[in-house]
Amino acid sequence: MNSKTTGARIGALAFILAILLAPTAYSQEKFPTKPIILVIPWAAGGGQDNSARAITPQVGAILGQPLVIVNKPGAASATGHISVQDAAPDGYTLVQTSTPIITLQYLHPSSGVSFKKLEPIVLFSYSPAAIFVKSDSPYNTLKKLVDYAKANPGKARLANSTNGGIWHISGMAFAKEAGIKITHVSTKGSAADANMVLGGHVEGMVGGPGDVYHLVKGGKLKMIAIAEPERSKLLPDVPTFKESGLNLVLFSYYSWLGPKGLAPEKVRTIYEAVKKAAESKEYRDFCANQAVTISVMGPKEFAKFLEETDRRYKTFIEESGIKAE
Amino acid sequence: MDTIHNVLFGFSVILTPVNFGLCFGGVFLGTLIGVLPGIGPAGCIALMLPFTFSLPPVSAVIVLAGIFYGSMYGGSTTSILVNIPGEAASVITCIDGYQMAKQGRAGRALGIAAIGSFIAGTVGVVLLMLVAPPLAELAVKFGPPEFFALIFLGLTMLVYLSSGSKLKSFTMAALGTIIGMIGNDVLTGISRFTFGIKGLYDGPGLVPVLMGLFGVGEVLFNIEAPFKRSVFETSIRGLLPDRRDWRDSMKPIARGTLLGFFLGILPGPGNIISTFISYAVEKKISRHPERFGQGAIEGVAGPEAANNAATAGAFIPLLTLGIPTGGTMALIMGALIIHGITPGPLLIANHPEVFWGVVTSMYLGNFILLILNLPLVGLWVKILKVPYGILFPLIFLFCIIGAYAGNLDLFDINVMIVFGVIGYVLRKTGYDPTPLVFAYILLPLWEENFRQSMVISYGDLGVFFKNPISAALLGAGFFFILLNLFALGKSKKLSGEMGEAKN
Repeated sequence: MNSKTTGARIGALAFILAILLAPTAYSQEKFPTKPIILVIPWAAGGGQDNSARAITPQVGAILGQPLVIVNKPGAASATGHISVQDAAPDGYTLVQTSTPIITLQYLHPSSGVSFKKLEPIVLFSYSPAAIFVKSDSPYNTLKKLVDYAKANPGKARLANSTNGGIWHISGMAFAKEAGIKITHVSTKGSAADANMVLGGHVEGMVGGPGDVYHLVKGGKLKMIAIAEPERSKLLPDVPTFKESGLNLVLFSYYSWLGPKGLAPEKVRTIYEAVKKAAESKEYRDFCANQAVTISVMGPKEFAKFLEETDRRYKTFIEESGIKAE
Repeated sequence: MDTIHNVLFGFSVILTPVNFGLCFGGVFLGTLIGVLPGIGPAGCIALMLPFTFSLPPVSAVIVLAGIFYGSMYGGSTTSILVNIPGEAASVITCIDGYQMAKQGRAGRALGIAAIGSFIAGTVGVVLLMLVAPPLAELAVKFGPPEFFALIFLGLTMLVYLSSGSKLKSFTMAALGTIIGMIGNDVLTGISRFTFGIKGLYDGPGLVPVLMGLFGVGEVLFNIEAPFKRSVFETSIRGLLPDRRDWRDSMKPIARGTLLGFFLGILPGPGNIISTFISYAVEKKISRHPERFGQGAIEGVAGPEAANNAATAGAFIPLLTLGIPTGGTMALIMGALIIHGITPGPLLIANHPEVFWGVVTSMYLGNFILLILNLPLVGLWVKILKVPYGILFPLIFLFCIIGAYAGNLDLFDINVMIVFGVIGYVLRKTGYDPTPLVFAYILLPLWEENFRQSMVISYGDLGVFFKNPISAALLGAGFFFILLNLFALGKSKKLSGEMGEAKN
């Protein structure tokens, strides 16, 4: 054995040892030190998925580690949520979600999904509830629709995309505030809702602008009211419910949560990164295209918001008697 | 003239080395995915989505669309060779395709599947190009009452789906209906038959059920008895369809194309449903219906044309209105949205390069697929020579991957195995699972559309007859039923007379 081979062998041994011992070095590093998994409890191509893909590159650039999106659809989004609830609270598994963390508690109690088992991190944008009608519909203002509904109780039909979901709840809230009786038709998704409206099978649909904005831009649908506190800058021509005297502020949102018990410093790190990413040009362009409103809520504000909407939606679901199980 | 300009424009977009290569890559990958049982186009597109983000929008859609219609070519391969569908739209091809393979005509079956797919795909793109906007308008006229009536018409065809005892067919359909009821009800959100099991909230799932019944079930059935493969060793007479095959297949391909295209435009799994309907129609029209189930090439040509035409049709609502007809199209729509292009009524005007680029890429893709698949027929046929002991674990593996890939949930694999056992039992007792699948897909849709119709009509049953389209479809359905009853009565009378004449 000559010195060259010995040297090479020692070098190889050192190399192997270094690789074996390297992971132990991570514990002293700043969070995050490896890619973060973002679970999306819906199939790829949907609203939450698209929004995630629009913001994660920027967040990853700020944090210095990529965000890996994993779609886990199934079981009415319960599977995806549970996988994060059960994950280790080390900050490397997060979920992007919306109202189901509240509504699933009452619609599917056996699923075990609840916002109480998750740690709120940040809410970064939202899609307010809106009523859409066909562009040539006779009920092309909110007043005309309400008048028609008052004169013909139960005859006005509004489609929504999930029974007990946020748009259904919005429709029910609208009916309650306006003192009218509406027939709600639940379908499989916003595409089916749009089909029903365009074909004249229902008077209108309740949904978020993001899902069907392209039909509004294309002149096929008209948004007659939006559940915002004041007119959206993206949609200045759409009157708010408030202008007609109906106090309605409801929306689906885009937010990140982690497993319960996630360390406050890590929550802060992720929140700051997302807050910055939400102001990026890429994300702003995406939201402008989809009529999504950017608005950031930090962990404490978000937690309070969840408690409050939990109380509101619980009453709604109980009053309306929706029971999935 | 306008259209020709647009087509030339489209070709100028796609005939760049990059886009050409991506088109080739997409359809090649799609074919591969179609061949592998279990993993379908939806799963593959979802996986490929992140890779397309760095591409320009047209290129991204070219690849993803290529995967979609490419998989419709490949799916028939395993259906024909080993009686296991590559994906849901190839279930029907198993029936006669496998019989043809057993008779040494595998190459001809594969060939006619490829050629039929090419013709249907190309005609579909031409129709897409010429009549997309008016057809999209027609499609939105289909509301719940119209769908109810259409499915009713389709259900009258159920009886043609399998040979043998009608009672057994209906038993299978009833079982399929019951299994289809499992899951969340769309209208009320109530869980039915889930017994609190999370994995069943959305139902057992199409892929686990199909791969279980047709994949795992077939494998279990074959490994039990020493599987006689000798029949495949006999020389494969000719690798491509001969004159007779052509003559028999031309009209089924034509019919399948039109059928598939129109069913593809409507929301729902048009590419799957159209294969069932095409098979039933061919059997009904045929002068020798008894040949179906014994290796009738019409039973391969028609459905394979239908599923390809349906994928072309599926692009119409997406590209003209921005409404996806199902999960796979929603994925492609997502890919466009990520690139900042929201498909909708303004797509053709604002982004003509996307619309015409995609349309012309489909011409190119179909052509590439034909050239790719025909020579490959000789290669695929060699798979038959692989010892079953090596083949079946591989098939089983791919089925497991396919079942898992949908929701990344291990529960789906359990569902698949349960249905695999069920499929094995059915085969042993002589029951054909095809009507089960047909009912599993259609009956829940039928119920959903009925109840939605009742909600929007405020409970008026007459809604089905007041709307012209649904009235026409219901009328056609009742007409077929009466026709069958009449034919039944006639044949009974005839056999009665013949019985008397004999005495």
